[in-house]
Amino acid sequence: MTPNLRLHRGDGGDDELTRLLREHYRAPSDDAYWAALEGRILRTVRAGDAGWAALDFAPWMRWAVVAASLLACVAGVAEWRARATESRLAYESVLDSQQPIARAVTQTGEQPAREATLRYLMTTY
Amino acid sequence: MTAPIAPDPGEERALVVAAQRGDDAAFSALVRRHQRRSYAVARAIVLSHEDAEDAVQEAFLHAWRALDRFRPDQPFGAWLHRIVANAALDVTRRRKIRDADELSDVHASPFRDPAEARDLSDRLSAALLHLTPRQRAVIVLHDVEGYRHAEIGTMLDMPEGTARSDLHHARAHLRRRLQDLRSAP
Repeated sequence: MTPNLRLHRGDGGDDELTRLLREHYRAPSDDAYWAALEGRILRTVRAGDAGWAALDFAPWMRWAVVAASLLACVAGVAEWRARATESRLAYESVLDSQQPIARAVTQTGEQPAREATLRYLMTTY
Repeated sequence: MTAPIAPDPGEERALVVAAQRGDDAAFSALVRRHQRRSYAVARAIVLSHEDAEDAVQEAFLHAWRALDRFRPDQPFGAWLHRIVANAALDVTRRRKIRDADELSDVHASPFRDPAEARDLSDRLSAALLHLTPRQRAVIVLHDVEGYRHAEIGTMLDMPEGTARSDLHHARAHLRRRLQDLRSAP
């Protein structure tokens, strides 16, 4: 069955259309429904509020995490630099101590082996 | 149409101030006073009863959190309804992203009498789906809930003229869609 739909266009409003819309958007009329919705709203607010309260501590936690991360970074960089320095010193000490040998070796092609051995012994001791 | 709320301003202000101090009972009283109107505002914007309930719950949660920023000398209802409208628009956006196909399914509201699901109601539902969310909100808030253009503009954060224009287009669209249901003279 198709109900009659009479449209009026007086002030731009439309009585029949408005009636249909009001029927379509009719809110629940049962008081029990509204009491239940009120309960749900308040539970949502309390649950959300608890979460919100927890978030109040979040800045402290965030700062703690940031501080811990920075400390870890600083410690990591310090450790890396210490190892790099240690390694560099180790290389330098090795290279310094071997430098005369390198000279002696590079000169062996032009001078006799005996002379090279003597030069080595003189620079080492 | 939802019954208009005409709360005693002094009493309402006292409730707001008490709620701002953390009084749960005062906030409950505000919920009781405003939930029907809030539902109507949300329902005007979203497509289903369930989404309207979600929007109302979210809106009250936002209102509770922002309560300390509300000036009690302002009308609480107008402030709350802006929050409700925003929550409803947010629900609509999320729903649109989630699954556009669900729209036709969720349109059936459980509290409605099943006998109402007749041709005319179905045609109206279908016609409403062809309006933009803003047009739908404007025509429902104006023609069903009785809000003025300026109030709708404030609520939906748009100029009053845009509300008028949206109302005009929404009415014209629904008339066109329901044209063949007109009774013979």
